[in-house]
Amino acid sequence: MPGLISQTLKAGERCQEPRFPALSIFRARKVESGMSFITVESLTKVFGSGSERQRVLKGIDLSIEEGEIFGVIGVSGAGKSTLIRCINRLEAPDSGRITVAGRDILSLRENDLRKARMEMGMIFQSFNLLSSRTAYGNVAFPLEVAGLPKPKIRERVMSLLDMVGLADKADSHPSKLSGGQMQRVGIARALANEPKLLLSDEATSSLDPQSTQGILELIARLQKALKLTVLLITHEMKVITGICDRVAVLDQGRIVEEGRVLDVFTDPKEPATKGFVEEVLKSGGPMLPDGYKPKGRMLRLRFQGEVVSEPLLSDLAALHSVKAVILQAQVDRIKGEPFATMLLDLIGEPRDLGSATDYLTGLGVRVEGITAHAS
Amino acid sequence: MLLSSKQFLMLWNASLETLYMVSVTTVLTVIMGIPLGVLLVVTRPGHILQNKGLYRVVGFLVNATRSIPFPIFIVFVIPLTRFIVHTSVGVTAVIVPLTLAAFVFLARLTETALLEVPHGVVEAAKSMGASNGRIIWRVLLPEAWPGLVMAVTITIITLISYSAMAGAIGGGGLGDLAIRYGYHRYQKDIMWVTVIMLIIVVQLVQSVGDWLVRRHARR
Ligand SMILES: Nc1ncnc2c1ncn2[C@@H]1O[C@H](COP(=O)(O)OP(=O)(O)OP(=O)(O)O)[C@@H](O)[C@H]1O
Ligand SMILES: [Mg+2]
Repeated sequence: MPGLISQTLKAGERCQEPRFPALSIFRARKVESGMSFITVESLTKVFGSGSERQRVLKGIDLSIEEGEIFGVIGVSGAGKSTLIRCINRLEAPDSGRITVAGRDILSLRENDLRKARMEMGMIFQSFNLLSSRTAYGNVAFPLEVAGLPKPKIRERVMSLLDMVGLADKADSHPSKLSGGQMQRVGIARALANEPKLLLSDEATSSLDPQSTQGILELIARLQKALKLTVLLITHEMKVITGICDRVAVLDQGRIVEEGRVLDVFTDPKEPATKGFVEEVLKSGGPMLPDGYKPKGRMLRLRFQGEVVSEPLLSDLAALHSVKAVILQAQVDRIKGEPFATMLLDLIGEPRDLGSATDYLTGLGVRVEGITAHAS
Repeated sequence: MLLSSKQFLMLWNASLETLYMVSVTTVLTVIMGIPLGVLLVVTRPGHILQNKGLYRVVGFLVNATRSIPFPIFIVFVIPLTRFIVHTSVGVTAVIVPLTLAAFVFLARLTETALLEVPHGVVEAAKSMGASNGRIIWRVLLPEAWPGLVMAVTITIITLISYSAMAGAIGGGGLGDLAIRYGYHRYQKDIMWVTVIMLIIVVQLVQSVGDWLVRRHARR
């Protein structure tokens, strides 16, 4: 891409094959082996001063690998937007270090920063399209910024719109598009200069469930096809379970839990994380039918993998002389792997209940006794 | 109500003078007012060229200028008028106070129009690596276009009415004519004709402005 090739490229530095070759602005940098695609170290940000002083980020450490979809989840005000905006320096952090593809982002000068931004696409909750331009014009904008000639722009915009399924909407203004379509334009625009990194700030939070699904699928598909690294922030667990490989939970300016989505989701440790998991489980239906009086022991089972396709409850009844009332059952998929949650009222002698629980645990089912609460 | 050929000539000349005053000041006002309005927006805290000091000083000067009633303002800037056009009377002399008063007025209207552009759109442009100049020219101004057209329309109409006060320094034009003949000499027919002409001109300007906005919105 003309104009994007880093001027800092010196002869002789080419000899080493770069680890992150697609990023021209970053191309000149030698990347230490073992270094992650994005690293964030001890990042802090304070807003306001005096009595208004608010520590929004209190020392964030993160490593994001090339080619993964990394989600950051947190409640409103946790500092998610601030964190992601620090990555492309829409926000200036107070201290800490950020590298993208080995390049120190916080030390970039104005000119290099602008070039670096061209290679980090960003999408937003409110889409932020130019209302005075058509879908075509919006996608053309970043290409104009990059200094592409008109015919090249035309070619590229059409293929981008085609990529997000909006080729027929090229001449529509945003006011004539649905939320989902606007976000598709946003995605095409963010990917126009062939970035290797996509930053997503609550991209689906103002969409209905159906459009959300469509956008998540699109992001997942493009991530694979274009070998993107995606950093997304959200307050919705379904976004995390839908497409993320790894997740970090941000709570009051700190990362409190981090790991593979399946691990964090099936075995949440921190209260903040448990809250999000609850939310998903509750959304599957009310906790208890109205007026239900527990007859035995209330248990929540969570399990994944092979057990999901076993006749678990029949075996349980047959082998351990207990009866189970199913109060809630749900099978979700996390990155394609089935993951089941069940709420049971297990009725039987205490001795039998004990052996039944051991039996389940033996199969790798996580069993949790809970105090029931009506919906 | 028939006008004598002398009266007709007077009206014709006055119309030309008004046209001259308003068109010259409009051009000057737009050239200076819109950039000042842009400055008032981009130097705000949190904006692309934030500069608290500059923002405050410019804001204060604009407010100060706008606080002075126009007839007093004309007298107030006479020294400056003399310095710039080497006279303080006549149509050309009026252009100085008229432009000064109108361009700060337009600057405030421009500011309001530009503030209507959601900040997220500016941030999106920033995230794509757009320079500040590009953000101003390719994002702020085009996005605020309907508001800007309205702002200029209102400014022109204000200019027409302000130019009528120019009689105070022998400024000439339609307003001057209405006051001199209609009020001082009590020639009602002249006054009526000038008032009707002013109404028509203002309607015309407003219609053109509305049409430009509508044409933009129809999409
Ligand atoms: N420019 C700013 N000036 C002052 N305070 C700010 C600014 N931006 C954010 N904050 C504050 O920082 C805190 C974190 O904001 P942030 O936008 O990062 O939260 P978030 O996790 O993205 O929340 P949400 O889910 O509501 O978007 C909030 O309390 C907010 O009020
Ligand atoms: Mg946010």
